[in-house]
Amino acid sequence: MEKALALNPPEWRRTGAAGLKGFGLLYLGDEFCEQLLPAADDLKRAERLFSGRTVLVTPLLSDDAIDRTERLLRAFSSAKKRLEVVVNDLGLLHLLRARYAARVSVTLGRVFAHRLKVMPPSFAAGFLKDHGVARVELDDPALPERFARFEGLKLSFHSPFRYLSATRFCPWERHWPGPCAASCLGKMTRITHPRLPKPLLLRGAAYGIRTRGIPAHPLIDRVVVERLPARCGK
Amino acid sequence: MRIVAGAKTYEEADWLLAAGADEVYCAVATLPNHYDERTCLKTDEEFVRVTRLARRRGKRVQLLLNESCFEADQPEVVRRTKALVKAGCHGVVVKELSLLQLLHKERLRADLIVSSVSLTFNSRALDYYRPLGVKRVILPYQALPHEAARIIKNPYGMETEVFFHADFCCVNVDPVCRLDGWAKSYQVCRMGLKSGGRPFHMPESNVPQKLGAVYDFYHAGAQHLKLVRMRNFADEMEVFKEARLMLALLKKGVSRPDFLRLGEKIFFSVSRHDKENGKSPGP
Repeated sequence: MEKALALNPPEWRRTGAAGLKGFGLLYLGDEFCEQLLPAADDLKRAERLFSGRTVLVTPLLSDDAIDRTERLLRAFSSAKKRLEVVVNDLGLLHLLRARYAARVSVTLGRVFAHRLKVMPPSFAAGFLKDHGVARVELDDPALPERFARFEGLKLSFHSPFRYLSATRFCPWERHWPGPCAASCLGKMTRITHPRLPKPLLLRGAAYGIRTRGIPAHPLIDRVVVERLPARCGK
Repeated sequence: MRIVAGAKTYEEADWLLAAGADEVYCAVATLPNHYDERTCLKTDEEFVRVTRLARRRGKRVQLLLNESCFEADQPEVVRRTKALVKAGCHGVVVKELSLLQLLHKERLRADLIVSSVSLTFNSRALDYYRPLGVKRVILPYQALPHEAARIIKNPYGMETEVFFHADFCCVNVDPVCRLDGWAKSYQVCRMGLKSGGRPFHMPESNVPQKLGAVYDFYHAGAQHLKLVRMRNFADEMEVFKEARLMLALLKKGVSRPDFLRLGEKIFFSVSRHDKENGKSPGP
């Protein structure tokens, strides 16, 4: 089982090489906030400090954010050293197929996974093949079996945070995508209501719940660890 | 900018078209769409009546197919869609890539329109849609005017449709949000949530931001303004009148500060806005 640590860029800048001990992969970026795309310096630092492989993680993307992503693709991917990219946006997926197919390895992110799961199976199989998708990210234990019918597909499982919703309006700084002071760094908010089955957690731009354990499924060969703050703020 | 308004019944479509809507859009029960049956026309025949009504008035009708469906059901969905197009439906709003591809392959004689729930946040996605003959893209309500500039000014001639301040839609990114299914409740995002014993509001645009988006989308060149279907049609009638007034201001060429100032007065004259926005602490 491969073990990955997921960090957004501000978290990565606070983490030394010792913090990556025991992990073979670094997931750098964020699946829910385009302000948390890594900068070139973050990837350079990862090349320098981390002996494992770095995976570029991306959310839904505006044109500006796709441009930033493409600059990273040009600088950090090659036919000899394919860059694994977690993709949640159709525009980026199409771009990767059109221009970077020989330089990247495509993984569908958790947002796109929900789009994939409702596609008719025969269409989905063609779609995955056409876009060179080798892996899908999941965090819902009910889902791995849904993807078992796709030959050769591998699954990653995220723990201990399962996302249920996301916003593009920053809940921490109260603005739409724009200059970011990384106010979410190290913070998590616990949200309650009598009708919620369990407390909801706000982490970055995603709302979700705390989960325990990794489901035993033959296709899951990678666990992606997200370090949640020990305490929740208000 | 042309107004595209949602209708749940023939009578609503009649009112909207008479009141100045350029297009109406309708879902039909048992055809895949994003809302429940209460927001749908009951039968294909009722939809056909709406298309005849629109044609008599020189207006247009869109059919919503903005939800996924089982593969086994797709041939029937395509058959019924073709029949509705033959009866005069001018555009079909589609979410699913598979259905989009199928309708394109079937050479549907109607405009293919990409739904807002397909989450088109960038112009690169248009490269995917172009070979499928897409004529129009509805922007997600969490897309911002300045971010959408390249989508709106795309070189393919695809038109763009934007929401009239989306305060009747979900707070979070739809359909990325699965809170309602998880909690088995409706609009968890607008519940009286708490954090640390204090009220917690899932944040969204405030009123000036909503009005500013309408102004900026208009000036960016978006062609269509979409009004959502509301459960209470009295609310929708008020919002429709508000949209007409706002468009009149825009056509008159008012400045942005004046638009925001006048727009806020109009905004709070709509009872539901007053109820939902005026008294809440807001973001």
